[in-house]
Amino acid sequence: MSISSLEEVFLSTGGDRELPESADLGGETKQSDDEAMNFGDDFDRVVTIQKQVNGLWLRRMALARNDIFRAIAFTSFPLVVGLIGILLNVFGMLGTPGDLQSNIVMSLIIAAGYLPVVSLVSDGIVFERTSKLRNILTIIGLEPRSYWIGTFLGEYTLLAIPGLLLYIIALICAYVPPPVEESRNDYLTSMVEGGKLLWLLLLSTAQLICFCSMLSFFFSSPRLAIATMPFFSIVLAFLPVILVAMFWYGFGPLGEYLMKLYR
Amino acid sequence: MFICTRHSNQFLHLCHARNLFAGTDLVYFSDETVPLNILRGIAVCSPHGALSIGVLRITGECSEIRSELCVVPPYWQIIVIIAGEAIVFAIATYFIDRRDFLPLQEQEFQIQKDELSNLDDDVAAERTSVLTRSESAYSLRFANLRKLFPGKGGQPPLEAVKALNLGITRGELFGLLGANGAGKTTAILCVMRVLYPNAGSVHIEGHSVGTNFTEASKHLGVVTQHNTLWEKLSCTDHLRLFARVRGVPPSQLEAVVQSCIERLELGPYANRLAGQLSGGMKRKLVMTLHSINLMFSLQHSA
Repeated sequence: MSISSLEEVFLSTGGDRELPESADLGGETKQSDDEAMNFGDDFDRVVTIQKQVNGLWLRRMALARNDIFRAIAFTSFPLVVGLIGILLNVFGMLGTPGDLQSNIVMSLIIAAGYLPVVSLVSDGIVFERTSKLRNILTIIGLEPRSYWIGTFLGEYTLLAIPGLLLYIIALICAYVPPPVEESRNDYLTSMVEGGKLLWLLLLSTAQLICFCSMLSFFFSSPRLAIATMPFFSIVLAFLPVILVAMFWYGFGPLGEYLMKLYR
Repeated sequence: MFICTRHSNQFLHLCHARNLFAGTDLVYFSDETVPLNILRGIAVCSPHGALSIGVLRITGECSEIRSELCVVPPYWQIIVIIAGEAIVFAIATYFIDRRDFLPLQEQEFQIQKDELSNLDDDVAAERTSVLTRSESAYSLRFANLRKLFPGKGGQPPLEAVKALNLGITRGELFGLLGANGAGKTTAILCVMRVLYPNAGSVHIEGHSVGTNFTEASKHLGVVTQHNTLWEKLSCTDHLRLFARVRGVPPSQLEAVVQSCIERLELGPYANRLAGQLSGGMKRKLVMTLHSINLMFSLQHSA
């Protein structure tokens, strides 16, 4: 069979369009074929952001339910590490409970609990982008804002749980007599007073998810995102220290002169 | 991370002895010499830095160490900075993502008169029909679509698609066949906006893919050669997600899902995860997903 004869076949096939709408197509009508493929075509075709966001949020919940071990790791790590930080301070294992030094270490431990979270949030977003699932959703009519709002709400729902539980633990610790004699727990009552810790954790969670979403564009594979994101967060926290130190020591008298100019 | 103090006379004390613990160095600056507000802003630019500074701050709000923490930004400032950063990150994310779907400027392209006279009769008739009828007359309409790929090694550009005029009406089952390199995939990729055409336009249900992809894509489904599914989502989860994205009303959602499952004989596998399905079942599921509440479906296969 040659190319030219194939062409003949194609051209003949093109003639099917000339068939009348009511033509019998192998015992079934054209209408029934349409029905067989286009499910729900008779519905009101109103696509709203609310429906799409709801769909994406429920998808995240279903993913967490079906991959329960990952979901537990995702939510329990900040909780367990934060709990360890608070208890170490309460039992005086970081120094005098409530002392500045102990509080600094405790706050660093609580923040460190959220380090693996950036990996897991980025992993999900990068996976969807690199596996073309994101593209497929866009092609079927998902609006970009629906995608990001839905993804944000899904991640936030899961990450709000450790924040809430951590606050409840701090609340309990604040109103229980301190286990170490002659120690104080005013730092704990200060943390939970007016729900300060809760607001801080909930807002930080939102910031963290948005941060991961933005940085997800820089990764070409989920594994790279998992491996890099925590280090990136650490570097970003200490980068200002490094930059200013480099500026000061690197420029020497020039740096001092520039600072004088600034003043 | 920075903690700035007003009590230091010297400009910089790196690794202050009191703060050398837990592998952390807190740097003390004098606000007489350093742009303190700038540094405070930078200090919380990392989510984890902001969280640790925030927690530290609230430990001293009403406690004995309050005076020692006067150099840390107040609680409300930290909250405002965190909220502000979250908004900035969210806006940046949206705009980075959206740039792939910004409206394109459509350019006109006409083939030469001598080339026009060489067209086969049916091709010429299709061209006339497509160009004379409105965009909304077709489910999918290519009008003078042209796609060039840059030439390699000084060679002239490769014209993959040259003035394609094609209209597919609603309910029509159309197979686009051709020899290798004829430009079939290129034309389909232009519909999906994976490739941007150099000239011409593509319309789906009267909506331009180039200038209004958001509307056009609401009527489009694409089954690629790969089974793009979430391994950890079940068949029903997939169907519900796609139905919601397609705008199926909540009251009809379960009916549509059940209808899909029954018609494609997915019943025994309805609650099975996509990763546990056979290749054939995955294919069936993908085809079903892209047929929900749909006007036009592209099924691409080599």
